[in-house]
Amino acid sequence: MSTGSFRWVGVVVLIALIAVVSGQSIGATLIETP
Amino acid sequence: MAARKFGGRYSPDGSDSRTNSSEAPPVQDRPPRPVSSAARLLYLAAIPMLIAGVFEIFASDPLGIAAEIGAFLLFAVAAWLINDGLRAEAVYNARAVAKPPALPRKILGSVAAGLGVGIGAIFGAGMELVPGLGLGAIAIAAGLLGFGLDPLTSKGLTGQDGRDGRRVAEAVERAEGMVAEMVQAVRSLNDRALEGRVERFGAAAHEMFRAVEEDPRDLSRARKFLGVYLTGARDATVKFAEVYAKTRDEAARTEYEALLKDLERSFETHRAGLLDDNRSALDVEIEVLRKRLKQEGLA
Repeated sequence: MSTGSFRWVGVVVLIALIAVVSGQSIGATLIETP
Repeated sequence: MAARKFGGRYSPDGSDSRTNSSEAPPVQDRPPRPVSSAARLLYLAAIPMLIAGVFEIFASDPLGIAAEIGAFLLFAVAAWLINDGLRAEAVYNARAVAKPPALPRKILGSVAAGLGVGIGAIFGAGMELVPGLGLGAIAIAAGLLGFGLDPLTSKGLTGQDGRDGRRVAEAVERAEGMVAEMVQAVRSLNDRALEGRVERFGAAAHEMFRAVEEDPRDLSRARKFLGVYLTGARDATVKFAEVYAKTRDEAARTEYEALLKDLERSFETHRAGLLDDNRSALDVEIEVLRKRLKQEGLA
């Protein structure tokens, strides 16, 4: 695997983490909201 | 935003004589793209966090609001820092002599993104402390892996304690700032042909900067071009943009374009002179070396 591919893995993991945590936050908020 | 008339070499009216495209050199030093696609994706991925923060307002949960809006702001700052860091790195890479950026923005951006993920995971998604912190740490590592570290050392600084190189780096930085101001001033006119003209002038100036960076000894000779002429060109461009925005005076435009053409030509002539000088110096060195080899009976 080249350095460029590793870089893309890093970018994808970071974006996925932000998206998942943001999505879970919105889900948790919706469940808690009366 | 006002619509911009597109015009260029391959456009229907691309033969517009005002662009002088046949005489101008191709633009080699295009400025880096304003927003990288990865930074744009970071913004987009963080939007649900903002929505979650807004919902928390309806749920009247102050801790939730602070955590989720805070996490969103951290993501936004991270995307901005990383984008800025990528641009600074592109400028650093394009130059032969450069100082590292003042702030390691990509590193700071990755840390901000990691903090945002940690805060969002613990206070927004309701995760336990340790897994939340773990996710934050993974996000920092992923940011550093994905965007890399910022350039942290100077490059190409030669001479006594790198003083020559530092002087060149500072002079080129100032000169590049002036070219950027010129492009900015003309951009406000929304005229693609003029923008292209100024960009080509900028490319000629950049080639001169590269020549000086490659051989810092040229700085004293190039100083007049980097300082006096470029300052004059910047002032003239700002003034022209003011006048042309109000009056659309074609005579002023023709005069301004003639000035740019003259300056561009003198930059190119001067750069060719610098390269010729380097070649003569190389010839002398080769000649001296060959004579010495001959005297020693080695050639």
